Parts: sequence; C-alpha cells; structure tokens
Amino acid sequence: MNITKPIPLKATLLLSLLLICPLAVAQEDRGERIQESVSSSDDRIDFTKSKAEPPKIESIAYQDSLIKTRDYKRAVSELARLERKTKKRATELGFTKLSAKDERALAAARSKVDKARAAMKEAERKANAD
Amino acid sequence: MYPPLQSTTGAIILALNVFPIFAGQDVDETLIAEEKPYTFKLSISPAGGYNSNVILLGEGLPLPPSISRQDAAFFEIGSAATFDWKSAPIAFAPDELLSTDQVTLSYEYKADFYEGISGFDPGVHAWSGKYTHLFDKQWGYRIETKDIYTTIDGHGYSNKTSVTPVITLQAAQYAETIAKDLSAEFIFSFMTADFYFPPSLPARNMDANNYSAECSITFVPKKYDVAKFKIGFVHFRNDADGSDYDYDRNRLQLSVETRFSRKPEDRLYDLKAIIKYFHDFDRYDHANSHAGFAFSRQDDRDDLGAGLTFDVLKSADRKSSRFAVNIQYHYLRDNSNVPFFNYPQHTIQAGCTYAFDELKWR
Repeated sequence: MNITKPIPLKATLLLSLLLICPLAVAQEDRGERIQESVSSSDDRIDFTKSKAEPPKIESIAYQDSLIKTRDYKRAVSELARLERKTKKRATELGFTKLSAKDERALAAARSKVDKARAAMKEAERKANAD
Repeated sequence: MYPPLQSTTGAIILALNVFPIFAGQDVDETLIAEEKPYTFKLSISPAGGYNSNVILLGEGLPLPPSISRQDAAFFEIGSAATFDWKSAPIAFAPDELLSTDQVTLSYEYKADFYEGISGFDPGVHAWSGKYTHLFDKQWGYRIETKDIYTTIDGHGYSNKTSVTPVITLQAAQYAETIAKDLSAEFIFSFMTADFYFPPSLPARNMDANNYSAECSITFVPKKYDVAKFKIGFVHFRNDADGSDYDYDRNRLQLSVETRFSRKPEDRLYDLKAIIKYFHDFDRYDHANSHAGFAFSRQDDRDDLGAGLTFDVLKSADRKSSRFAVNIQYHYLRDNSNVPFFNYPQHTIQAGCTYAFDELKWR
C-alpha cells in the first residue's frame, strides 16, 4: 500500500520561495545600476552650469548692483549738470577759466562719480559671482 | 480673434513690458533707465577624473558578467547655454530698486566616457525654462519646467519631465545687523520619469511619478558677504510602476560656499570653494526583489561634494569668469540593508571651464 502524505501549504510556499530567491538575486539588472550611476553623477558639483548662470533678480547682490548703478548714473548726471552750469557762468562773465570755487565743486563731483563707478563695478562683480 | 496660444503669449509679453512702466511712473525715469539686457552665456567644461565604483557594485558582491572592473578613469565634457531676460528696474521706495521679472532659458549637455568599462557612458541633455516674478522686496515666486533626456552609449535610456513652483521670501531686513541675505524658498516639484530599458522583473520597473516639498534657508553674513550658507529639508515621494521603487525619502542638506577675499579686485576673490552634503533617509514600501521579496529595502545615503574653482581669466568687463580651472571630490555612501544597493563611491575630477559672456543687447 502506497500512502502519500500531502505536503503542508506553508512548506510548499517556503519551498517555492527558496527556489525563486536565488533566481531573483542572481538576475542582474543593468538598468538599475545605470540609474544609480546617473543619479550619482547628477549630484556632483556642476561648475559648467554655475559659470553660465545669469544673476538672479531675487538675490540681494543683484538688487544691490541695481542701486549702485542708479547711484552712479545720478552722480554722472549731477557732474554733467554742474559742468554745463559752470561753463555757462564762465561764458556769461567772459572768463576763459573756471573760478577756483567752480573747479573745487567740479573736482568733488568727479570724485563722487569715480567712487560711485567703483562701487557699481564691485557690486556688478559680486552679483555675477553670486 | 486671436488663437488662444497667440493671445496668451501676447498678454504675457504685454504684462511683462507694461507693468514696470506703470509701477515706476512716480520716479525719475531718466535716472533709473537701467540697462535692460538680454544676455546669452555659453560655457564649455572638459574634465578628467577617476571613479572608484562606476557600476556601483555592492560591497562584497562579485562583478556582474561581462564587466571586468568596477573602477575607471573617465573623461567628461559639459556645456551649458543660457538665455536671460530681465525687466527694467523700477523704484519701490526712494532708495530701493527692483527688477521684478526674469525669464531664463537654458540647455545643458554633459557626457562621461569611462575607460575600460562599456555600457555605462551617460549623455545627459537638459532643457529648462524659468520665470521669476517678485511682488515686492520680500515675496516672489518662480516656476521652472525641465526636461532631462539621458542616453547610455548613445541609446535612449530615460526621460524626466518636471514642473517646479517655488515661493521665495527675503527676510534680510529682519536681521540687518548680522545678515546681508537671509532668504527662504518653499519648493514643490512634480516629476514624471520614463525609462526605456526593459526591466528584468516587473517589480524593477522604474517608470514613476514623484512629488517633493522642500524648504531651504540661505544665509549670507553681513561682515563677510562672499560666503553663503544653505540648509534645507526635502520630503520626496516616488510612486513607481514596479513595487521595488515605491518609496518615501527625507533629505537633510547643507551647503557652504565662500570666496577667499571680500574685495573683487583681489586675486583671492577669484578662488571659490564649495562644500555640499546631504543625507537621505529612504524607506521603501514593499519587499525588494533583490532580497528575494523577503523584506523591504531601507537606505541611508551620505553624499558629500567638495570643489574649488579659480577664475584665471575674466571677461572684458571683468564682471564674470572667462576661463577657470576646477577640481572636485565627490563621496557617496549608500548604506542599504539590501546588498545590491550597499556601496561606496569616490570620484575625483579636475578640469576647466571656458565661458562666453559677451552677447548682450538691448
């Protein structure tokens, strides 16, 4: 008499799992490795991108450069106004040279322009380097 | 009657151009008639380096068939082209100017060529468009769309498309004594990713939609305004077609950048150091196929990058870099309970960047 004992369900499942597992572990997936590799490459510091980036309008450095540019233009405008005024005055009085007072005023205005220009250039460089 | 696309585009252009004029009506227009340049920048960066684990082989695991080594020297070529438009600045207060709108379009390409390992050379094309609008000195928003197409050995590998709305807050005025810049960003990202290589098992299908929410704070000290500190937190959810890739990620990230002089005319100002670090806590939903579907994957990932760049030559107006030399080190350590994903990687590379910045017009 041949008696066969049914294999319990849990044992069947375990056996199936043991058969499947080595296959699953051994099965290589190149796509997954590539994905990990590409992600790791993306996370590196990107100097190419940063060197081509324009200044962002929300950055304080860029806003600062706008203010400094405005200040420079105001200083240039003031110098031009002063030059016109002093030349006109000298012409009206028949002088060939400007008065010492006007010369001092012009020198002060030119100095202001130089300072404003230096400040603007510094701010522009900081905005681009941000 | 104009078609919808044409009328919408027209309305946007009109709004971008007209708004600054109305907003600036009360101020001296001649004094703030700022340069309104459209700029085009281009940069090209060749580099060479060494990667200790190109294939990201798990520690202690044998090499996969047909791959003879895990480390390799590599050559990298990167390039980026950027078009930028900014609206004319307007005055918000007697001493405050603000450019309120910016549009930036860019294309980047990066390719790596590994020596002695075939089938792992990536080529990445990235297109992006970004629109920024500032409501005032404090609040603004930005919308960025991006498409990243990746090839491996010239064959299409994946395509990722994303939309990223961002809310920006500038709070430097509340910390004027210590901060030159104190800003926060609230970033929401929606991305869909398609992979073209067939997965070996359905569970490993990486096609996915993912969503992330991020908050970051940037601080620039008042006394040393060429240094920048940034800290951020990101929560990321990935819903994939394959059960192996359904996961939640929490990321803590830090970065520090500094130049070595405050004065742009100093040579040391042209030397810049960057350190970036993030830690990921990844928790996967389902039992992983690489673990024989016995347990779910749990990863803790450390990623550290350190770089130095020195601007050897400046552009004609001395505002930006013309030619720079760069060096960087990158360390990645994935601590995973699944041996396949448990790996370290060290990368070191050195190269240079040539940038063209002369194309500006009004």
